[in-house]
Amino acid sequence: MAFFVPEAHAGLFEEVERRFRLLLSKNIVTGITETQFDKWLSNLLTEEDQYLAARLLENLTFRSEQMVGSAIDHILQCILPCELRRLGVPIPSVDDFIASLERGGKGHPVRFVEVDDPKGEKPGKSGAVLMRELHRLGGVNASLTCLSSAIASQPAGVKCLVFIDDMLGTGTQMESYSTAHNLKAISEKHHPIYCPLAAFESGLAHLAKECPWLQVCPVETFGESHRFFRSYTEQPLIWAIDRINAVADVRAHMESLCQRGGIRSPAAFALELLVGFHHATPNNTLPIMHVSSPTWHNLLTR
Amino acid sequence: MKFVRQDVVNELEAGQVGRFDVGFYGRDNLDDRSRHSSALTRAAVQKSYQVRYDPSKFSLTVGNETFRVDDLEDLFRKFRARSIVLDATTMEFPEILYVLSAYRMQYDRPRCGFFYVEPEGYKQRDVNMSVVPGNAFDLSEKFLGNLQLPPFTRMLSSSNKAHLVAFLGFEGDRLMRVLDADDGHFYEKVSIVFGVPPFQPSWDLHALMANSSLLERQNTTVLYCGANNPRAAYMLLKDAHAGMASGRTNRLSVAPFGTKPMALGAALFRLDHDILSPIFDHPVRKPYRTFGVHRRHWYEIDSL
Amino acid sequence: MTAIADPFLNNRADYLSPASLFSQFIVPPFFQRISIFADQGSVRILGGRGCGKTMFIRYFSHGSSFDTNRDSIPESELKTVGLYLRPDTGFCGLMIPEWLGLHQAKLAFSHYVALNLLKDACQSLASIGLARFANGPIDVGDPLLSPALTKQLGLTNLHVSSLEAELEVKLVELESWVRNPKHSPVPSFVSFASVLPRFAQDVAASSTQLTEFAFRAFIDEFENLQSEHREVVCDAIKHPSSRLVVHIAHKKQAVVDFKTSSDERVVEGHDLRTIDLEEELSMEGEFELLAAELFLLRVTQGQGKFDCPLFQPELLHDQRHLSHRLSKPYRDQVLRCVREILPSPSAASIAREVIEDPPLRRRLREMILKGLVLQGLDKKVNPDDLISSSQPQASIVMGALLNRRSQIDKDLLSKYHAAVASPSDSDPFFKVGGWIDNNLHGCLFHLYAGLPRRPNINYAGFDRFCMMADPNLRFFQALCHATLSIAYKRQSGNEVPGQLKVDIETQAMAAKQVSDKLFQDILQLGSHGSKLLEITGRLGRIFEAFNRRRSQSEPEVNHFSIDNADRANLSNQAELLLREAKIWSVLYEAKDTKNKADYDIAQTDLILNPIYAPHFSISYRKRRKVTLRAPHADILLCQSTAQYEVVLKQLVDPADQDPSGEEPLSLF
Repeated sequence: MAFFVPEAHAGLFEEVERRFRLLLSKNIVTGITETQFDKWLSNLLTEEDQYLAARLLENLTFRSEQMVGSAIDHILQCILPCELRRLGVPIPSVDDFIASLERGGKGHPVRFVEVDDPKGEKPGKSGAVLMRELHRLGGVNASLTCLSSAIASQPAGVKCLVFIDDMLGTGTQMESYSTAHNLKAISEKHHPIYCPLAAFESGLAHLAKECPWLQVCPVETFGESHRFFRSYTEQPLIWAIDRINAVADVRAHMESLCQRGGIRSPAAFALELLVGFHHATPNNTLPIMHVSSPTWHNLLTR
Repeated sequence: MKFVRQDVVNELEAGQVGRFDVGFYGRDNLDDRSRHSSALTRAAVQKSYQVRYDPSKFSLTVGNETFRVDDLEDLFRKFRARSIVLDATTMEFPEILYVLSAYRMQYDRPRCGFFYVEPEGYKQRDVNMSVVPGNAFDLSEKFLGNLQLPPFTRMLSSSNKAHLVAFLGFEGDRLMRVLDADDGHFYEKVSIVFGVPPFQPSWDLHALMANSSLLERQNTTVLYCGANNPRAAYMLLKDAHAGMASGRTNRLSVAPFGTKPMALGAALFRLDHDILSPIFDHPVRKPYRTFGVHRRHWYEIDSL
Repeated sequence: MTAIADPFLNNRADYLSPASLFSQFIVPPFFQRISIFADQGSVRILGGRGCGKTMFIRYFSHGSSFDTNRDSIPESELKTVGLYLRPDTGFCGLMIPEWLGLHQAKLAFSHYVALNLLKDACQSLASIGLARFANGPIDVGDPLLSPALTKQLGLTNLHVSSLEAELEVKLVELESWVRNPKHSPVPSFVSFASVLPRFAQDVAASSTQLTEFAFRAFIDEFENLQSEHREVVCDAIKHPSSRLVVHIAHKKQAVVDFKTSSDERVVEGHDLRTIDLEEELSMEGEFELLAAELFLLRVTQGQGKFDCPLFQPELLHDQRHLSHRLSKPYRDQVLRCVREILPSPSAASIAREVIEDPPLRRRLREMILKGLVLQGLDKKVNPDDLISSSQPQASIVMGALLNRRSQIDKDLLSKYHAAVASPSDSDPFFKVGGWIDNNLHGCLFHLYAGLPRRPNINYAGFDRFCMMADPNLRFFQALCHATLSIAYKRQSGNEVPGQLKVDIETQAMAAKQVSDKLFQDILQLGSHGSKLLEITGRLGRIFEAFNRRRSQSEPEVNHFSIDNADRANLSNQAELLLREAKIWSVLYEAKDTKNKADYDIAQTDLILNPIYAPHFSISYRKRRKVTLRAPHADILLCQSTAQYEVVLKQLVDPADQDPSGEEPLSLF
């Protein structure tokens, strides 16, 4: 049997489409115009295409600028005070800590580092945006932020280097970054804390193994239960999302859709995630969401 | 008051938060995490008492003593403490608010700690029943209604309208019921707050789905606050307060229908700011509405 | 830029300031038919959600009756100056015996009402000052308050101009005391029943133009008041004063008792007349006109264009123009105009569609084939021979007739062929009350129900929208909003190219969409919303199951009834939920008209609100019913899902049903 639209969910696409437009109009999902959404929808030709798209949209975790601001608050108000205290840094209260971040100053024990692409191919992408947001939304004083190139020259009083990133996927990118900037050696002088806004379990495991000296404190952790093609636990051949279609059929349909659109389909060991940020889309989000081709309009922007 | 800490603690660390004088907890046998959280609370204090608020009688029962909520000085006199712990997992919003406001009247305001335990999951509604996005999870038996919490309730009128800040969770009908009944009469402006970052990824999608009718309303602003960040909830209310221009909308109401940490933030804000008028619909929680234990949180403020 | 659909969203009285309410209100036809407040005495206005109860009473409040857009206001309006109070029920919930003690609770409430109504009274004087009366403006001046009133209220200043400020202070005092009675001084209470007439008296005494000055006070949301508070209001109804009449508004079924503080009761008819808005709006043909005018008004607000010269929005708000609006030429033109914009397919055209559309035709063929198999005729007769493009209606009902288990007419086939060859008013198919009359609609609903993804055009059209929404104007506007949104998206009225017209499929999609949404919204109706949702789902599934019966032996079953004699056997919980369902208009109750005389065999019909029909793909017309015994009704209303499933199987034979669409209609 091929991928099909179950009877009980016949109206799902209309419902999800309507809701998504509502999310756009209320700026819960940002950075996508209605026209862009219409164009992405025009990629879908059959009812099965539409049903698959509905499931994709339904399971999309999108983080708008405001939400990223809330995540930054979480890092500054919950994660960092706790971790810093564990390192022996005296933090009388969260309120005092926040006030100190706003004041900044050379004597402050924390620096926030802009995580850039180690190959230098994509300058000023997520890293720079996040630093700006740290400053604008989190209130962190500019004197407490620094570029990756300045890591090695931080004063001894800096107890902790905080690396803020949007997505930790497989972990290989952060691993390369650490190597490129010699973080292992630096960790002996300044304790590194890596705070990705979203992290995948396997990436956490990878870093735990390859960079055990790096403390990783993700804001949100995604796992097997968030993969798009995951199986239903009671019946492993069946797709968890609707508990009706077979996983193989869903993959096959995705494949055919991608082929028709001339875009790449998910790789065999891909993370199959549906995560988007207002400033960028992680490369381990399903390509169908963000890739474009002459015959395929993208929804999210890479 | 200052927020001293908002930590995630493991079981060992939870046992090392210190020794406090008195502890309070609510319905401790509702589910796994209720049992766990109340046990953590009891282990951290010298003496502990169960608390129950009765909305029909406006009375708070603590251990074997009952107090009317306009006689709360008697509470701290009876249970003197320089430091207290509240089990935010099992205590309801009114119980938290009343116990804290009682101790605020004590001359030496105590240091306060709060435990909150996230569940592994929430119970879903049986698929054989009518399921719509608003009731996808089977959490409450019913709601007792009567929204007012004296002495915190303010009077609303044609010249005293309110900006309602509503923290939202999985139960889509709670706020809609309040807004439907109000019919736009007294709540002139509504801000809805979603818990992002959520306890677990995709839980924010459930809340969004359950409350999507609210997005269709006019005069409705969408805001975000960490699901387990009481300070963020406090600051959000502070911003809402600061944003109130003078004029007809001169009251600030809060509906703590989201996560308990958000409700805690709202309660703490109310203690510091008389302007806030909380409303609450008194859900009767279903047993086994959640299962498992996920993360433990320890929140601390320096003094009430 | 406003989209053409947007004005249909602004449909709550609350969003409107008193000033703009007048120009949004459409005087309903029944104003001509019944005397609204002409007689003395209190009135209660009944109506469910969405039928305009609050809008109606605010129309009679001073902000609207003295609106500056009105001209030539008769001076008789000064005898009935409307004051409006919507109590803050949350706060009033504190003025109860458990918190304040019984005596104080009632005094406090009366005081609360007094202060709020007095505030509104002061504002009414301002409205009057600006109003355009027939005999010229009225100079209200700054009336002096009598010693009696100033003493009663403890006022320092004797003039009306400073009264409002003093009232605000008193409200603050009341609020402080109610919030924390042990720690605030007790206010000195006044009773609204004495203070308002006195105020009116003082105003009357201040000017010869105002000698007959009197108030009528509207108290909205009466059902949400505490019982002690309702007593206070009933006292004022039972003992009216010459300068103050008290009217109340509440949902039907929501209030059963009109107790006063003494042993007396407020008696319906004698002390209190009733205006049942729902009943009045549903009167023959009236809802259509009102809905059509509302539609055109909204389209005008969205800058849409249409050809209807007799329609003028300015004429809608004043009763003076009502007879023009009720005239035949006006009515015909307005309805024709709206029917052109939202056309309804006739049953005949829907039937034609079935024959011409391949999936529907296939479905009909399947149905006929199964019938032939049942009758043992499948070897002899080809189903295609029974599908006629010239007489689609006859073909369609054959589907049902062939599936009847009971002895079918042995000449059925020859009668069919005869009817198709030369239809006449006397053959069993086409005669009045014949097979087509009785079965066509049921069959159409049956055929479409089997194709749930297809827009079900049985729900399309202005007339059908009216039938499903009546008497709820909010539902009607929701249907229009969805229709225009789908058809025109964000375009504003003047961007729409050519003639404004929405095709049938779009209307059908809108109906389904709105019905689905309103079904979901049942969850938030009152404190039993969750249970009401469950009940509606269960009922809907029963009717769905009936609709899926190929035999259509009882077509269009969409309501149920319980023998009156059996009612007593319903549990208290079931009765409670039935009542809730009626309060929130999920179910309507209709008395069985056939057996009125004999109570024992008479039944009470409970009709599922037709707005939910598209959600379940069932008929919205009140046709057939299923009678439930009390135990079954009880199970349906409040017992477990497992027990319900058993009842469902007992009511509808699974073998007769089409297997498609068996899943419960839920989204998740």
